[in-house]
Amino acid sequence: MQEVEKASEGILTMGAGTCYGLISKCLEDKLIRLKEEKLRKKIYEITPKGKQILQGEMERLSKQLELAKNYLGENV
Amino acid sequence: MIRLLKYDVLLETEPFIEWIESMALQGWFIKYINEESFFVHFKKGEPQRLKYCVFTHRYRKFNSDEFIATANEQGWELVSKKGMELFLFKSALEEPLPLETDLSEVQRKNRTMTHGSLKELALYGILFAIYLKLANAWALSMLYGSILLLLLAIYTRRRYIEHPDKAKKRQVAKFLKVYNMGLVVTALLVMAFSIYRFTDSILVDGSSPESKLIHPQSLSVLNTVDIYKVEVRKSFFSFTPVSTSLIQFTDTQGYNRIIYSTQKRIFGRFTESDLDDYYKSSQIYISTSLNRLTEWKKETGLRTYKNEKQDAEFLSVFVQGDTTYSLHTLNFAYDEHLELLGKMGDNP
Repeated sequence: MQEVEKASEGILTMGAGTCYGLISKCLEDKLIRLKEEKLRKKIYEITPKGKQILQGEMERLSKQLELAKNYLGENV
Repeated sequence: MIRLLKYDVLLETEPFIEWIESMALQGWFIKYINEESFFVHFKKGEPQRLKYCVFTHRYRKFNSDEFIATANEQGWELVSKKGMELFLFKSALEEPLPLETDLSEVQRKNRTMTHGSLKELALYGILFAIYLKLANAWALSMLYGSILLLLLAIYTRRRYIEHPDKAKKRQVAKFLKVYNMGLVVTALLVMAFSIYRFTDSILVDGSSPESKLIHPQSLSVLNTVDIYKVEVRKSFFSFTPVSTSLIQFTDTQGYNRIIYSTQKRIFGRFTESDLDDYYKSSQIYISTSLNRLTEWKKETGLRTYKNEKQDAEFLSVFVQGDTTYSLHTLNFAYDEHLELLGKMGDNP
């Protein structure tokens, strides 16, 4: 959560409910899996399926950004 | 202090939270929330300005412990937890970070849940209508139906409350309150009436004109045999309602006959194993409860008869006489269907 906030330069903050909801959803969709458990801290890793989905989403967003730039050109 | 829960905890989350926050300002702090409860417990303390937050989820793999620990780090303290799905937090911070920060996900969840809930409601109605249609013994079906209604009321309440609807939650909440209240009231009335019916006992002189009025559906039988006494005993044993009929009559050939039947219905029809099980249980019932039948059995040398026809809802017969006798669908006031075809015993 701190990473998200830091990476987004404070624009994005993530509540505990949203964070653990996302983790649960990703686990159920098999996008991540439990890697190890230290004390009461769990570490998850992305699965091949998760990587594939992530890659696809990154490409989709890049494409959208590219299209927007091409369309709006210098007006942006 | 116990106060009436005026709001649906999740469908009317905002007014509910405003209410408990105002209570905290007065020094009353909520102890526990249960969305199925009609009351809320408050404990007395020093008045305090607190923020409350209700959180629910429907995930199977939800890590509650880590979630609570992280919420603590963000300034939220757990007040109560109902199962693994419903949490109430409080915070003394002025502006704590909300537990839910992805509003689009919340909205998506709400839309899905509202549609799903309406479909469920329609499905329950259809299932219940089918059930009532299939169940033959109206008193028993009413009893089981009322239990079903109660379960539906609890279940639908849970389902709806778990899914707050931002856009329509006020309307949905009001509708559900009326709907659930209606279910509960109907179920209780029906259950009370069903129990009343089961504890009823009727002693009718079968040859009297009144009996034909009371049992209009048995006219076909009354026209063919001279029933001089009909005694119906009904019992109610918690989860095993049993209809018992004890019928003594004289047939057209002058034989005294006694028919004993007992029925346990769950969903209208018996299966083969039900019949076997029930035949055994009816024996126990006879020996422990029907003293009068036992006396008659001694006096008349009655013997049991088990109907081989599996789809018939007739279970056991004590009969004197051997004449071939057919009794077609004898319906008494409580809609008990007896069908007995063929031989019923030996001549005395």
